[in-house]
Amino acid sequence: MRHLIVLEFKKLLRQRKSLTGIFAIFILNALFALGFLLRSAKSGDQPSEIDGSYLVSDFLNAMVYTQTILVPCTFIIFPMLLAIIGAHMLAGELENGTLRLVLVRPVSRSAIMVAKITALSAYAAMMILALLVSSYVVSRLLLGPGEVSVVVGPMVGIPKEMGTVFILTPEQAYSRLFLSYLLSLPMQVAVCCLTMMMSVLTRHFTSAAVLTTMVYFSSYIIGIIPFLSALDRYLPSRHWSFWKYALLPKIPWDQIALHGLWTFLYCLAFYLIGLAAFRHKDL
Amino acid sequence: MNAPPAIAISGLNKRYGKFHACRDISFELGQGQVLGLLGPNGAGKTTIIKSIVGLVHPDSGSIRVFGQDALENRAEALRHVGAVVEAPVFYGFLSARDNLESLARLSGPVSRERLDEVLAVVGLADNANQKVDTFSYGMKQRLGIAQSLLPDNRLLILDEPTNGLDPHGILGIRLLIRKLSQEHGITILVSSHLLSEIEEIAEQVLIIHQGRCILHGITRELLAHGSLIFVRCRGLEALPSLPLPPLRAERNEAGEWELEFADDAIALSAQLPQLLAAGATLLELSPRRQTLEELFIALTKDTQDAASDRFGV
Repeated sequence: MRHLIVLEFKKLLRQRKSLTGIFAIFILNALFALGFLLRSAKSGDQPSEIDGSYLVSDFLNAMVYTQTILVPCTFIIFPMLLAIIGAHMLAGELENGTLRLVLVRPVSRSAIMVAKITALSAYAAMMILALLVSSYVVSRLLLGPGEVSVVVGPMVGIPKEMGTVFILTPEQAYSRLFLSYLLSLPMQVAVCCLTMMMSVLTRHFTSAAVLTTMVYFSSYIIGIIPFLSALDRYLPSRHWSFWKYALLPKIPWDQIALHGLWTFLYCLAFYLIGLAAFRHKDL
Repeated sequence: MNAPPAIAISGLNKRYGKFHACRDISFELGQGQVLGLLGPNGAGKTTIIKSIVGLVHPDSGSIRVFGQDALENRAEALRHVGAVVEAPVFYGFLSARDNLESLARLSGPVSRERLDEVLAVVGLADNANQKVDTFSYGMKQRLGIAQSLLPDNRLLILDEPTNGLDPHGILGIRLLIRKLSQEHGITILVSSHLLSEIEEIAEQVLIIHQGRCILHGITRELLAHGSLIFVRCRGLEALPSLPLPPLRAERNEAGEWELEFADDAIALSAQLPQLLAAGATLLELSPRRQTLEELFIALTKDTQDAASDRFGV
């Protein structure tokens, strides 16, 4: 198993397409830096009453920057990248025949699935870490460290009944920042498992990547359409983004545990469905 | 105690929907031997190979590799098996050495010396650190054989290893297979529709047609069994009645008769005087060895007819 994971990870790191994650982080940092600098150059802005974002502009610092940049990455950029790279890892290799190199060796198909999910999850963790380090370094140089962190609830998906704007004290800010980044990993792992399942079911790179992103984004879109709200409780998007709770002044650990468990069950279900199909398919 | 056969297949059946790819295939391949798996395209050769290495699940039958049940205990059965199935594809962004090392480790530990040795055997020692993306098709075929040898495999399964190669490449693969079998004692199952290749390298031949095994035997014996005596003569308008009719009798453009008799000297000694008495002048009398190609075409004639119809020849 160890050699299989090492092979998968080596393949991931040696392919140019895997560098797109780093490139995406670089581009986002450039855009965010520009946006934050332009915002801080303005003075006398009228505060927005819609989502409290005026508070963010008043507290433009490294903490807020690093925390804000996590939102587009964890909800959009990383899942898209993982869907494409993951689909290439399994469906792409089934299509181009390179998976046969491993399949004719004395390794089980379940080990292959686990190795690919592990390697892709490790890649996701690497991207999250790279985002944390790069965004903090960039923002600290540009904006200064800051003392407090301002969390705009609706922006990170915190339900309105829990509050709209939260201010984290300097004692809380760092630990919450790290915790939110750490808790964003299970969401990406779930996307990895979903991608592998779709790859096995379709055995076609494009279909696997498109279906994964379609299921993932549809889940969020359905969740925000009012008259489809009855479906919300069954959608994975309801559970996966529990990292947001780390940004509340008082962390609701019971919610994190509950949604963490659901996320784990989703991962397990995707893995088991994918494995059942993978084991029985003629390749 | 006798060593178990490298491969023992019994009653192998596999269907893809309505298409019956393998019908009751049974054969054994002893350790150290080379078996040529022959058949037209779509005959079921690749399905047999894929069944052995676990890429497809047979509907029924048993497969034992070195005495281990390959369907129940796949990992253990394939511990010393290397295979190249269909085209030789690799991770093009890795070097030849990286590819070999990473893949071999999935079967067991492999030393750098062993890697170098295998690269030298297939003639890729100078290209070890080159990215596989830069390799020619022939080099990839050789790399495929190299990876199937590692870490210390005793059975190689090669699916059409000479496909897409030029004559030099084909000769290289043929010499390599012969060397692996004769010098290293490796058992080889090689599929091909290049009959001359199989005739050259395989001790045993198994002909598959429409999913069925239609011939299995020692190549030398099969060819010897198919030996003929060729007679060419002139001076006859029609053939006289002969006690043992020829297997083939045709007049060529020069009006000469070309006759093929079964390789039976006693029977032939009774034919010739009658031919001469009828006024024939003997121009040629020679033994003729039936090639594997002739044997193959005779056995798979319906496919050949279909092919002739398809191409209008």
